[in-house]
Amino acid sequence: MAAGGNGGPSREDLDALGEKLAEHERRQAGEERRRRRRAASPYGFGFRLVTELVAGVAAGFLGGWALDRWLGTSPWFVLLLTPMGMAAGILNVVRAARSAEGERHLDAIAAAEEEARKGSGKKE
Amino acid sequence: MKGEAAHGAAEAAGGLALDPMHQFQIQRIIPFKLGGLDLSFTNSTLWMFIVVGVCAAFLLLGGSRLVPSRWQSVKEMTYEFVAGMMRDILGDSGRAFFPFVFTLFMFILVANMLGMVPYSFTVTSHIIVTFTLALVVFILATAVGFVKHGAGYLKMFVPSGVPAYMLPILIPIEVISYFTRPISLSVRLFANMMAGHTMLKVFAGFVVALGILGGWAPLAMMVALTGLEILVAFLQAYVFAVLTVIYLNDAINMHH
Repeated sequence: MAAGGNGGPSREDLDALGEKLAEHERRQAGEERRRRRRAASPYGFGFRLVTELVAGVAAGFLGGWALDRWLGTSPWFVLLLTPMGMAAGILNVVRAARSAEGERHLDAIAAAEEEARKGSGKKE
Repeated sequence: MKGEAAHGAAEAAGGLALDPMHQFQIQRIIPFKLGGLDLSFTNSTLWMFIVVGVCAAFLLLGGSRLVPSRWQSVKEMTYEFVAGMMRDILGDSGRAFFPFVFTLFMFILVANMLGMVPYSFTVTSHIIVTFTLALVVFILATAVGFVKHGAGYLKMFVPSGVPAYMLPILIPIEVISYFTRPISLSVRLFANMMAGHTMLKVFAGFVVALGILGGWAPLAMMVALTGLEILVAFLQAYVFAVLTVIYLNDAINMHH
């Protein structure tokens, strides 16, 4: 390191070091995110799809029940809105699976299957 | 979970009265009533304060030097983690919401992690707590949508590229789908935390019931489950934060 006038590191040195650190940090952060996505979140994503389905039915039923109580039309809104809630749940699941996050999981699964097929092929 | 096992042992001694749900009970520490409302300071309140305290201590202590210590590196990593996730989903348009999302993420993460400490109370294992959090997110996202797009935000509920005679069926479905958000958001976090902690308690009960000869198998299972639970604690905080950002993104950019 080129020493400054009083033995300490010069301004340019520090700037260069800072830049290098920032570059490294960016790369590491990107890698970290990618790795975590591939490794840890399929469980979370799977659970997300399940709750999405359940929440649809629950929202439909609760909405219908509240409307029935308010308007005194029991049980008609429950009968109408619960199936609609199921449809909404399925819609949410399809949307979540088609989102960028869902695509990434599907890619990861396809890649893992490909790898597994190659691995078992080699052994036989 | 040594503490939980010991806890189970104490209860099993009194005639196997092991109750895996006991850990979720709300106890009043300082009873307090305001009108008809029970506003007592409970163990849940206490643990919320502890969670906020731990969050604050984690973020405020540990220094902020140019060359970070290990502690500071961990702090910066959490910041980078949430900021990066927000950049991925929302782009730079949502920088204003970073404090909100980061606070939410830290609160849930620390609450989940502190729940793993034996004898502690898991704040996020109560649906009323997670539902309130989800409702805050839901109301904020809806308000942002209406502020940003005015009445145009209602177009969210009209799917594009659909024949007009289908709309009377599809619009109510879209509306219900919108209202499922706070439910799915809260149920996911609450169910994960409650199921995990109940399972740990049940296995702890097996360890005690099977004694020194047969207790090893459930004990090994518990070690594995504890690891899984720590992963779930992190993951659920992350999923909650991600979905918050996705909902904010829907409100700001309005593509469904």
